[in-house]
Amino acid sequence: MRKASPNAATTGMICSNSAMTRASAALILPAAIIMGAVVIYPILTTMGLSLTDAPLISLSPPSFAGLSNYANWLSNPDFWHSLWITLIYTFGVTIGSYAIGLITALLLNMEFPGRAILRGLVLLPWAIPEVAAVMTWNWMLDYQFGVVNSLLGSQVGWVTDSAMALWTVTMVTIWKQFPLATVVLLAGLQAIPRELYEAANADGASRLQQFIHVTLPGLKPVNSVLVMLLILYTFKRISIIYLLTGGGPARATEILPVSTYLEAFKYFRLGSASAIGILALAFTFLITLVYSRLFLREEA
Amino acid sequence: MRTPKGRIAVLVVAIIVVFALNFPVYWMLVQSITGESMFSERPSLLPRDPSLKAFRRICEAKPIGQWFINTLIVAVGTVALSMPLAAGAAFSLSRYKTRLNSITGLAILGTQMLSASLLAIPIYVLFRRTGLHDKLGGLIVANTAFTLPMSIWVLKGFFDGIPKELDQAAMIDGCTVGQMIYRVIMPLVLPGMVAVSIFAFILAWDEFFFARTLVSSQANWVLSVGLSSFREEFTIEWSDMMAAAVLFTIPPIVLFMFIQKHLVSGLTGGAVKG
Repeated sequence: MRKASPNAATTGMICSNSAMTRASAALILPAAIIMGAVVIYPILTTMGLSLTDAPLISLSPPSFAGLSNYANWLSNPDFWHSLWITLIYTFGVTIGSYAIGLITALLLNMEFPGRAILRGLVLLPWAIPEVAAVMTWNWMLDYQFGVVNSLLGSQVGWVTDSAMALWTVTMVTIWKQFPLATVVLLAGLQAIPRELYEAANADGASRLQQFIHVTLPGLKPVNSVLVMLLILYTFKRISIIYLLTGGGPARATEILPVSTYLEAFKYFRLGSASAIGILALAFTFLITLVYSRLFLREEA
Repeated sequence: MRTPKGRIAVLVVAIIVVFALNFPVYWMLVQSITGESMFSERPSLLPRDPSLKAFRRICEAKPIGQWFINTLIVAVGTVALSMPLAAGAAFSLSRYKTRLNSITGLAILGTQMLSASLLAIPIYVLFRRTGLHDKLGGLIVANTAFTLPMSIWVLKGFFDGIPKELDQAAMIDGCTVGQMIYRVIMPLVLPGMVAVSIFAFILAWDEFFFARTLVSSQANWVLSVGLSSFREEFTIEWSDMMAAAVLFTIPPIVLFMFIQKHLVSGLTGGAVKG
């Protein structure tokens, strides 16, 4: 193994502290460098690009544009529309994933034969590649021949009707993401001591009371992290919307990451795209910060 | 719920819920083997005149084999690149509290905020300059951007589960740090390593966004890009597309079944501990 080599020289009866420090640095350095290359470098580059008018195709030196990209976006109603859509989508998906995750977790935490198999099967939507899943939904939601309209006896343009499209992409994303909530909540439920339920039973608490006074508080440690993860993962999601609606119809589903992508790789405006990407990142950061202040601090 | 009757009732409800949630998976399978009668006013919920024609058609019409091999190269390459790095970093994060470690820990959290569309811009520019554009090798490097943080995160949980006393015992017995990791820790954490490798493989296998942006020539496409290209055709052959989706889905699903237990404990271990 590669990792063995940097410290092979430090043979001694008992490893000294400085050797330990060197070992820790040697072990983490390669990953730290890569993390810098894939996180810090891209952010800095994007920030740099956002101050220019760089186009995608020509790599001739772009001219400096100051903060004009930011000014343009912040005064553009499309940007505020995208931000609003992003927030609706993020909260809709988070709430929906949590709700379905909780229902399935409660159900699969009960005792019944064949529980292990169903626990595995419920995770399938998560294991399906995103592209394959979205292609299937595309076909299921087809206006004329799709199975959804046929089963419901409805005539809904799921992805073509601008009033409907945002709810459609929210629904499909919830479907793809709820297993994450199921897994985490199931682990949370199993961590609640059984004695608490026995005591509640002895006190004559009803099932609902047990749920409110034992189960919900018992889930608190996993809840705060789970909701954080759900918000973060949804806020930056792009493939589902990109493949399902392409941001349309008429920008109805154009969340900020989709705007960023379209601006860069469809309209070829790298500078402008970088600015909206950085704005989206700033909002993610703000939400994370506020959230962790509100909900994560007490456990730290 | 302790009565047998109650248990059966729960089983029935659970089966209904789980199968309803998996309807799209079922539908994908059914439609991939449905013959010519897909476009009917009332689609049948059971496969009608089942055949494997769609599978044969896509294999003849599209370079599915080439895409499959490309995807395999990218997924294996991503695992090979990210796992040794992740193992070292995760062990270091689990055992030592240095400043470099806390900065790296923060960077890992930071990656969770970056959307693929933001990352794609600078990576695209960098790859154009360095000639990594339109190369599978470039895609491997780009995929490491998101498999690495995830792998470190989950592996750290596995390392945390191994008591520190074992390290110390090995040191007192005269092991170097390298020997200690190789002889004592690695064997214990091997199941976790395998699980995380497979998870990274699945992530790289499924990845669409970088593949779409960073690779342009069709010969270098991976399956996710090839699959999405079906949609851009003038007339969509839905049964062909569903057949391609099934082919694309089988490897990750099979692997997922193997690691499901480890993955769940690894992810939730990380989530519960924050």
